[in-house]
Amino acid sequence: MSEEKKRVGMIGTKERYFQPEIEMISAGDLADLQLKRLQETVANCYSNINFYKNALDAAGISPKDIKSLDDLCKLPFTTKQDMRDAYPFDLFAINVHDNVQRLHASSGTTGNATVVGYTQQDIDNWGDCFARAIAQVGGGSESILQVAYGYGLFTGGLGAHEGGIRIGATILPMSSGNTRRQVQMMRDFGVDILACTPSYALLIADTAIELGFDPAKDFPISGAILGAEPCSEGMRKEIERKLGVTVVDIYGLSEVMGPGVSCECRYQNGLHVAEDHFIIEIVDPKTLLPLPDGEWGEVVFTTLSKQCSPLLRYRTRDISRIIPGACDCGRTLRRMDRITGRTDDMLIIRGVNVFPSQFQQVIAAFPEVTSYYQIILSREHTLDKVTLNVETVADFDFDEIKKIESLQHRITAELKSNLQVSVDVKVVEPKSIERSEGKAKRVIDLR
Amino acid sequence: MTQEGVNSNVSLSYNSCRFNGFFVPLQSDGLETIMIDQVTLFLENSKGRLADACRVLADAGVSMHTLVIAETTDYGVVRIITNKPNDAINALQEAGFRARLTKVHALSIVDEAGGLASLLETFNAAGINLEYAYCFSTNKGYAIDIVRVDDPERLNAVAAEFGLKLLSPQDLYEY
Repeated sequence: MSEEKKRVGMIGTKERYFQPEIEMISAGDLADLQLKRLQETVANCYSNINFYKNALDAAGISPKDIKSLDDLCKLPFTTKQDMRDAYPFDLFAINVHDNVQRLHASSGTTGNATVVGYTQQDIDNWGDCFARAIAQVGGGSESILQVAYGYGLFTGGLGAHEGGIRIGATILPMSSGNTRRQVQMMRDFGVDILACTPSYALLIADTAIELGFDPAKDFPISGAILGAEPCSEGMRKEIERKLGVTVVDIYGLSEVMGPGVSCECRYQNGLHVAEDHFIIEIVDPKTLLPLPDGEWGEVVFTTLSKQCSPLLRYRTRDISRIIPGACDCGRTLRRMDRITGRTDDMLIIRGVNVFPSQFQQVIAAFPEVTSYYQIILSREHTLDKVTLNVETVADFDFDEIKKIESLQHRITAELKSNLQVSVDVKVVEPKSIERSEGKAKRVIDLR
Repeated sequence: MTQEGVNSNVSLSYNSCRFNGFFVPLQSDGLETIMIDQVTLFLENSKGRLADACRVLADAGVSMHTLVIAETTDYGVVRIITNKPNDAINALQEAGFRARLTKVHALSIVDEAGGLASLLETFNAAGINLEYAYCFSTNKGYAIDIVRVDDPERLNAVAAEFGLKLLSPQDLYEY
């Protein structure tokens, strides 16, 4: 494989931009654009969404009070619970039968899923955001993009797909799974860029190596756009070494849009936020007051261009900060740091968002087990592995092993259907799950 | 579960019990279900856990006739025959173990070649399925086969019909 091809995504080659007029916008022009779009968004929310009309009325704010970007902090917050309560379409600014092109939904957590609608314009904007990521890792219209995120209600697959469309790349819509085939096509088709979760990228790399390839040398692939789950720096380096690629971390959440809300450039020092489409705030999770650049806090987004599902000050529960200063790549869009944690107990398991309380709800339906449980997260090969330890109740007849196995299988099946996560259920001895005085340690994360 | 399924599970216990023998045609106790109490213990596969359990039983003055383990990757189910099943359960539970009494059948057969084969053929012919089985020899020329079957009533009827000797707790503890 030519060295030149391999070097496309590497620093030292020419920086590529998808929308340079936006990506290198001046601070003044960006502020003007953001204010204009914020005013339109607040007006849209107020006129078309009862939830926001009531919330703004309650806060004593009318759309015309938004005179500068500083007025943003007068707006009320939106939470995930608000979105669940609005199930399915109460936060839509457009009738679902009108111009809504597509619906996505996040994993049905406790109770209702969060549903987000997109007009064609919303989808195009989303595609633009992801297309910037493709350029950021060195790709363009000549690239072959392998999308190995799951296609479906999950925004990963189709978000990356739209990015490929907008930049004019050749899209290989693999979805996730069938890893040997992923490797074969990556090689046979000469894929340039891979988009999937970090753990899946590593599995693809390891599978290629197992099959006797050295993708770092033998495959033309030069970039990977990885997101939907945390990726340690060590894991990034491992993927980069094994595949011979530059890995950029992409961030997004379906409530706000999907992947592409922010994305790293090749300098891998923070994720450039698509500030033309979103205003990012970092707030103190306790006081909810905005924090200055550089300080860590909860990430809050206000959408600026979304027609169907606009959001005012959506609390992501993700913890990050704004990285002060300019980036060497030339983009002026500010950078947020990689997510370091959550302000709630949400777990990300193979890209799926799961709360410990969901495990609790599932096992509560099994009279054979007690309410003590423990979730152990580890990595097997490259993928997340979930083990759920449960204790049986005193009068459970464990004399026959098949009864224990049947219990394990039934709990596993129920978790799979409720959480979309494969869980290894282990029956443990009574009292072996720690009883804590205060908040029980329900989750042990060994990843 | 089929008998084939069980046989592979318990082959070790049979081998280690030098099991030989024909049925001892003793008096039947009629159709009354005669079962004994087995102590069943759930243990995680962790170092020293079985030793801990045995120490608890020793300290409670419980002597075991036999102990077999059905093991899986993560845990084992330990089955114990003792003459003090209630003491054993109390001691184990008090020490934090998950233990319970399970009713099983004990059959007495002569400690000679072919005894078990004939017994299992009888079960097969009668449509009785074994959940599990294990056995131990006595020093009096008898072997004792412990079985848990899917249909205890039926086993009782078959025992009466074919003159199989089902042991009561009193019978058992005389061995």
